[in-house]
Amino acid sequence: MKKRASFTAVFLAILVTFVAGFPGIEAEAEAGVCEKALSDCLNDIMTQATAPFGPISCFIGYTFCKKYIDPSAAA
Amino acid sequence: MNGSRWTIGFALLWAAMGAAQPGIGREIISKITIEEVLSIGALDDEALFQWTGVAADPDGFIYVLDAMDYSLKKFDLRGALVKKTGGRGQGPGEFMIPRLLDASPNFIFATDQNVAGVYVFDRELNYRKKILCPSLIAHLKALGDDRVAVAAMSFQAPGKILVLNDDGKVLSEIAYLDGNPGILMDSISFIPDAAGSFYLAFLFQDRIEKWSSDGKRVWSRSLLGGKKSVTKKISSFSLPGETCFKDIALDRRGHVLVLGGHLSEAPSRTVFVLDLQGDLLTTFVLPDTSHCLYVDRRNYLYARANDGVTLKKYRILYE
Repeated sequence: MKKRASFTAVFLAILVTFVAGFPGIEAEAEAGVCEKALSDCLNDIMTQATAPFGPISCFIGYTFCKKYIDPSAAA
Repeated sequence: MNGSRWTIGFALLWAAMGAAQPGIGREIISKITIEEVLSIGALDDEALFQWTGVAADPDGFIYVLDAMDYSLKKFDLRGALVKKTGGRGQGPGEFMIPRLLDASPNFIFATDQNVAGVYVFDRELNYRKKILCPSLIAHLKALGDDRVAVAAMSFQAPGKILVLNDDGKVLSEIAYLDGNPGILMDSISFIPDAAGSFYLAFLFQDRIEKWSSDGKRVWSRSLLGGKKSVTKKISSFSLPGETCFKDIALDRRGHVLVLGGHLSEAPSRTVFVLDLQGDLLTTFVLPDTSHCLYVDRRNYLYARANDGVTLKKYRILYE
């Protein structure tokens, strides 16, 4: 049960953390979570400072997020 | 008499070669079912937290990338943890955002989302080296101990699979994109076969394709009736939203297995089964949603359960 509680609390935190060092997002498995994370990633100062790798990493994170997240959460 | 002996001998040799090499010959199947043989990780244990990549070596040991604790883990055939390596960091063999995994006979290849390269570990999980890549990596497959194929994401040259040697030299490339269909529309999963061909599944397009080793499209198929991923505006970019196909694998009996995405009948659970000519043979449904599909050298299928807490291993049953 400990793991379930922990997992629920940080569910997708790492998955949608597109930028290394970016603080964990308190993301819920809700509609648009990948879009929100991508937007945050693209607008992050670290991303802009590390172009073009930074934005590319954001897009790779977005595609992975779209693969990983349950459809009911990503609709 | 001698002629017929030669004919029979040649026929036997051809049949033996076909049996030894997956993908040669056509098998008529009408149905596939899967039977769970192993489950690693549960909600009340510490085996896995949020796994992202899986691979198996020729002896059946299972390797898993776990994003939640930044690690690469090795499990034995019964699912017991043998060893764990990695850790959070940017040093050799450490991970910040572990993503993709594959195995050759003697090495394990792993990627980190923000690293333009492939980490190489031996089967004891000792870090050996990094294969440099020209760009960040969106998909990875091992072609042998000394070669990998990667889908390298790039704004300048989108839509390419690069074959790299273990020094990072580009040995060949496949440019699979038609024109410029838009950002992220080149996103693919791919799987190579023994002859050097590649089977591609497009993440945001209703397209499954086979490409020859010399970079020519062999066939292209649509499995979702031409459904299109609706685009959304995100920070000035128009990006596709729903996924078509999440992963692709080859079984040992010459079938292409394609994991459907959001637009398939059972989202992230429907598996389309094609023959090597691209004809749809049947479908089956995974018990739980998955982001990936992996078939090992012994023809066991691996997929996800419990949102990434659990790895399931299945026997594939053909009818």
